[in-house]
Amino acid sequence: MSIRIRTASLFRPPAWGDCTVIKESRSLVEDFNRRGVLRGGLTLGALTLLTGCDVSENESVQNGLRAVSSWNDGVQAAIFRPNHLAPTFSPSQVVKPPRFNAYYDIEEVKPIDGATWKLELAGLIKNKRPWTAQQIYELPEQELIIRHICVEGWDYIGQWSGPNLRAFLTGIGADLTARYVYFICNDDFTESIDMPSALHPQTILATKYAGAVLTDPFGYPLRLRTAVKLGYKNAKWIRAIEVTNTFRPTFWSKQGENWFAGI
Amino acid sequence: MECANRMRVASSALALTAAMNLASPAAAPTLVSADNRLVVLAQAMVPPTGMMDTQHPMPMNERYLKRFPQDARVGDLIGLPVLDLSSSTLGYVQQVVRTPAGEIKFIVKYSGWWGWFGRLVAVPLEALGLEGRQLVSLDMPPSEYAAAPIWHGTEVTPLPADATVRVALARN
Repeated sequence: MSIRIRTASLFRPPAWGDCTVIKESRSLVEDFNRRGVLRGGLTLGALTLLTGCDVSENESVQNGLRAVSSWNDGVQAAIFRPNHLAPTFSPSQVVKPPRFNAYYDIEEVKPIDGATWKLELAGLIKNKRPWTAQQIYELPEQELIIRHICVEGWDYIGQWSGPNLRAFLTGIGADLTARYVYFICNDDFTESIDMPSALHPQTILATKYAGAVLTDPFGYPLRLRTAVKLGYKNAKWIRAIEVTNTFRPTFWSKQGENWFAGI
Repeated sequence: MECANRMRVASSALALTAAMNLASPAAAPTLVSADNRLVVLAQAMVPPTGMMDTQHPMPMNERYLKRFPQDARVGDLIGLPVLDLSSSTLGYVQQVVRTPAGEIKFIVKYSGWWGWFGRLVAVPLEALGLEGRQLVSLDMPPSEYAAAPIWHGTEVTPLPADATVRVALARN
């Protein structure tokens, strides 16, 4: 058996350039876990595309990454089809129970007392009276059996039901020409989506999973469920909704995650 | 998991430092006396869930209950992979059984070769966490799988596919 001699790639640079960026990113690489690899990989990968920038300058790198993320947001918004439906699936494919995820571990979930919980409303809304869980349960339900896609690389088929968000916003006199719908959650998580995504036919305020009331780890009593965003945009344990034209950074966007996150 | 340990230690250290730097009652509403200051310091040193206290480890059943057990159909659990905390496959679920003592055990075909060519071992329900279409061995490390006796399945009742068990959740 002959021994194959490995030759250097034709695209290998004749000499390495400034290795400062590798040293500065060493901590990202050494702190190795799946999420870290995704974040670290994104940073290192994006650095290779920063032409004309001094990649050893962190502020320049961050500005470059933010610019790319904003560009991504704009492109995704431009190609978004407001009436195009995501694929749906059969009940036999639904994963029960669904997969839990949050920015903390399962043991740190803090259940909400549904008897005293109220959904607060704010911003460009005519009727801002708070809603109890029971009042929301009495609204007409829409069922979605769709694929939940996580930015971490996993997915599952889930079955959610609850009032359609467009119908809810219309009923409370929300300004449907506003730019954002902002969600504030009980665990201080915040998220917002663009109005066209909020008005998409497959965006609901979910109160149930697989026909049963949501349980504590999955956002009881109210969560967002949209077929047109990545999983982390689907806020759980919602306690307030605001309709606004003012963009405020959200939990994940402050940490560099893409804000639009369309699928 | 090591990263999570470092983060917990770091967060406890930060809490301790913050507590030690509290200078006025306005900054710390509970800090009104030297005794209360000691209470704040002590509280800052307790891990959030008490689950990492190696001096007084929380019993496995208590840890299981803190992970919000959910109903899961036995038929949906058969065939699922069981992963260790590094997301390496330990084996695949073959059966779910009830012992004469009433304990629920998952019979896993365990192998040190990512689930291939394995032998049957019994894993307590309380040691596992469910992550969608996979299980994580939260409280039974790979060394215990390697040391576990071969499961022979005597005097147990296999649960039927449409039976329901309460499985803890995991986020690994």
